[in-house]
Amino acid sequence: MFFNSLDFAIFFPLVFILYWLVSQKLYLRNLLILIASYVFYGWWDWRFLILIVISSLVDFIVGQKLYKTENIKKRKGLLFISLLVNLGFLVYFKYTNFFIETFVDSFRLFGKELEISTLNIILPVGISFYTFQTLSYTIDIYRKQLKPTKDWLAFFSFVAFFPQLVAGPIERAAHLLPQFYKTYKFNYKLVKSGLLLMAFGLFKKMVIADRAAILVNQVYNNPTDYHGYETILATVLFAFQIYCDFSGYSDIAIGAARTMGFDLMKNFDSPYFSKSITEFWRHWHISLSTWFRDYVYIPLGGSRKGKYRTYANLFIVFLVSGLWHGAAMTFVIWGAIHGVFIVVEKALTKFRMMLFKNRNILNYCLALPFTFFIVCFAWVFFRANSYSDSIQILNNSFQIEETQNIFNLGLKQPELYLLFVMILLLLIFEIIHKRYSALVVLNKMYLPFRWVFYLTIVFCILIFGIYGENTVKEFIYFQF
Amino acid sequence: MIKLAVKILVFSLVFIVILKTIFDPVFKKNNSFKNSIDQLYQLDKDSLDLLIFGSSHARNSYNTDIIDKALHINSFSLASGGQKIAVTNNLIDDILKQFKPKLIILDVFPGSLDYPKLEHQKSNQLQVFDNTKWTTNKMELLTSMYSFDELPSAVSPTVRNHQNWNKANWMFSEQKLDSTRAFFNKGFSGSFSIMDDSERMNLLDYEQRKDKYLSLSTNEIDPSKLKNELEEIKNAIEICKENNIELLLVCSPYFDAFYSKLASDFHFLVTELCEENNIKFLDFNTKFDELSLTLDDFRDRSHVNLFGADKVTGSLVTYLLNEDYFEINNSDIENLPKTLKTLSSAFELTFEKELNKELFPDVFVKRISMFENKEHRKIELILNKKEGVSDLLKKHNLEYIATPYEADKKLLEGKFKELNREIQTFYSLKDISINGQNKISVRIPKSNILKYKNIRLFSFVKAKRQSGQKHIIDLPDLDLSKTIESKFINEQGSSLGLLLEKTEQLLSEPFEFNETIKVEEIAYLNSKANEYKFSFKIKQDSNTKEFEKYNGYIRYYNGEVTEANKNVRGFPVTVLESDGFKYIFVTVHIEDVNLSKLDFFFIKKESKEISRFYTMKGLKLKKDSDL
Repeated sequence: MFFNSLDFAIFFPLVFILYWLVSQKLYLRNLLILIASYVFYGWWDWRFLILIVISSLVDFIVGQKLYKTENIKKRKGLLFISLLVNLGFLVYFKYTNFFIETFVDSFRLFGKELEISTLNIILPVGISFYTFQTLSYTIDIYRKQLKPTKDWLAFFSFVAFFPQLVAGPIERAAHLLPQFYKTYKFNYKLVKSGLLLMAFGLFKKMVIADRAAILVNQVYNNPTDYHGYETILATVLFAFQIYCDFSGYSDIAIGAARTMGFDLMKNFDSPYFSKSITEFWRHWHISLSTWFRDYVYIPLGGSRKGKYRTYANLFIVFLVSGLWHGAAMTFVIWGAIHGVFIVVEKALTKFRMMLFKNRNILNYCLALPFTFFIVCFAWVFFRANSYSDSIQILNNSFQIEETQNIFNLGLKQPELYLLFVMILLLLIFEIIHKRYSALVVLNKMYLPFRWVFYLTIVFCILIFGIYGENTVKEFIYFQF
Repeated sequence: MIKLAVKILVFSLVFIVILKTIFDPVFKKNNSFKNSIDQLYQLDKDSLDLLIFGSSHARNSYNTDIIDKALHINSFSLASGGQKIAVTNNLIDDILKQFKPKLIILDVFPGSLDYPKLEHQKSNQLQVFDNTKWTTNKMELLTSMYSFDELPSAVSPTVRNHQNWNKANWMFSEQKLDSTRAFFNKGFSGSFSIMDDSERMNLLDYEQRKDKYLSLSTNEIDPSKLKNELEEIKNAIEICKENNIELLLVCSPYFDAFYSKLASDFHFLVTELCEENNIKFLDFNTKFDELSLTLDDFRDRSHVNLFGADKVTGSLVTYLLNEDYFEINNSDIENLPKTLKTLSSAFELTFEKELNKELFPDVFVKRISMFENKEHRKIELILNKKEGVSDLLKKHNLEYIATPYEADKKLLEGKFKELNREIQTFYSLKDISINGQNKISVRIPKSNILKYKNIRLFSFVKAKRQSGQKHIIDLPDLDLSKTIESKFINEQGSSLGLLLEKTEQLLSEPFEFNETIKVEEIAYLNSKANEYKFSFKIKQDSNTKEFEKYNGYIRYYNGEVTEANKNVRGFPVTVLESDGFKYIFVTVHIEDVNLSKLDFFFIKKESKEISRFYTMKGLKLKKDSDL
């Protein structure tokens, strides 16, 4: 079920009402969450619910066993089972074909053609998200940082919690699981802020991301046809498309959870105002970057094993992060670009401090645009359908004189202007929101003004949103 | 929780009110049905005598203009493309809350009985749903016709058309229909097109099939076939009975009737149903010969064109009189054939000439004829061959340029005024009728001008108007007035006199707007549908050179004299001469002829000094046929 679908528009209010009717009865409430979450997921394809159930069951049992034994070998064995099951699912469903293709390609390099064909495997929606979430539970127990839960219902609900099941934020058990142990009293302000966040998320997704997608898809699906400003515009718009798409989804997820009294972690924090790639990753997909920090970077040694090992660790994390995003070389290159710049920034920390510290003009006129440029450069590989396409797009981007009509890229003049205006409004909103919380400002307003604001958002979505037939519906991050 | 529920409820209500009152009207697509509904609700509640319902068959077949004028009644058509009877019943229910006509004519055919299944069929119903009030019946229909996913867009034009937000009617302006390809009048839509070659090829045997239409033996009919569908007709009968309104079922002529057994079954089953319920059924498919309907009377296999509609409507009018649905006085009955002929859109020949001129490469025009009806002129070209002409027309544009004599140039209207001549380019086969023989014809709007210095017709390869090779036909010194008896055309070649012949006087005594502009008469004529040409006969001793310093204004109100009902139109004060008299003319588009107040006045351009007003109250402008 998509957040921007009619099904969800019926599903969510129903679940919301039922939830608050049983909210004070913990068992019933968690049961309702679990059923609702499975319905939400099964709406897409009920067969893949089995994977979630297996993953939940394995980690629940492994968690219990891990807590009970002090034997290191046994503990390692148990952790291995959890890793095998969760990563096994992930590798099989997501990377099997990638590995086959890479294997065949590498033999082709040596002039040998292998007769191996790829498998017909459907990638289960959100598998990268919920496997990482359950893994964090087992690893935390293994590290003795978390006590396992005895409440299977709370645990299963934690794994399958529908607002964040398919595209995050990737929650840690230490933060989210305890929230399933207690009941919540209805808090009007919290519910209102949750609903508002959901509306804002829908606005970002339907008005900006899906509109930008029309132009981006046109250019990126026909890379040989577009040059100069056409490809540059498509790349810049993709930056906003993916941001509004993913942060929009996160807003809806956080908002939906908030209306039920749950607190999910922040996933985005105005990343395009970052003045370095390091800062960008502190503001972009926060739940994933902190996951990689805690469960990949630190186990690799983090920054404790010398300068060069730190650089290597950082680079490996971003390489893996790239691969997590997609089973293709383009994603690996995307991760590598970020990795390289993170390493360079780390190496030049002192120089950067000397140059940029307390120099706002330099930061905003040089560091910020440069960071955005690098991010956009990397997005080319992320979005392109193949490595050769990304090279074609990069080459074409330099052929400025070949630019034709930017209003002929799938979005007509008024549509493109509307997109620019909406992106500008979003950026202005984010600047203001950084200083003064939008909710605080809103709550200080007189009710009629507040309602005008709410109605404006709702009608903007209704009129300027991309929905209906022949429109892009799926959230980009569902595929990861 | 209660606070949230109340707030969500109030918010939803505010949302729905804004959506329905502001955004839905903005996004509602302008179509001829919406215009019809808007026009209908402007009528007096008790003024309506006859309402016509049905699909595009009905919309194209029954010319309300002819019905009104022949029967002296007020008729209106609420037929719309693809309208299904279930939806028609909902519409009838809705309309009868406000109007109580004497008679309802319901056009039925097998295709109008079932529920819409295909996407375009479902879209067709929306033009009706968009324009009817919310009732439980309408909700039930919507939920049964549209899937869960389709419902939001079926219910709200904003949801449906939001992709075209930049083309929506944000200014709430009244949008006019494109009358270049059809004639619109009170819900009737008469197409100027004639069935094309490819469609004619499929109907070569229609004469034989037509004769078999009613030759079916009654025991060959399967009554179970249309059983459920006929229920909707029964519903229509019930609704009319409940409202004490007479119902007449009709079936417009369409060729598919002759190619389907279902249509024959339908004819017999509906006849039977009508007999059971003591109502009449008039099937025009049984009257092809009586009405002399030919392929030329159809725009396609399912719809008559304007000329076919003349025949069908004429027959309907006669039927309504014969069956005593309406009455007219004896003299009108005697004059009925003549009246119908006058009201007909049929073209009359005004000019004909034998030629042998090349119009397209290797295609020669053997004869050129010009025809005229109420609204248009038609130019017909008889070619030396038929084959390949369609292909040539796809590759070429055809252009018509008519240059009037100097004295007549001031009579040019609209876009032709600035060009000082009449120019019309025909870009595609939609603009040009080919009737299956070696005859092609084009239409141009009717002009005030009857005598031309030159008329030129030429073809050129598309996109190469300047450089491409042209094949030109020149018709110098062409006098179209010769076939029209008129003593008013003066020696200088002016057509003004002919115009003035048909005017209705508003003022017959001298009136001084100010010291400069003094008039002796004010009159008007209905030059085209909804276009009124007002003439001011100027006092003989006026210094007409001074007139150029003024702008003239016409101001009129429909209904209450308020700003909302006000219409103002300014016009340059240009003096024309005819028969030694001087006139000022202004043409105004007036939709509603019931004017509560009409003012004429003049304002001096420099000093903004306003003249006296000549005012008339409670004026009903007469139509062309009444003058």
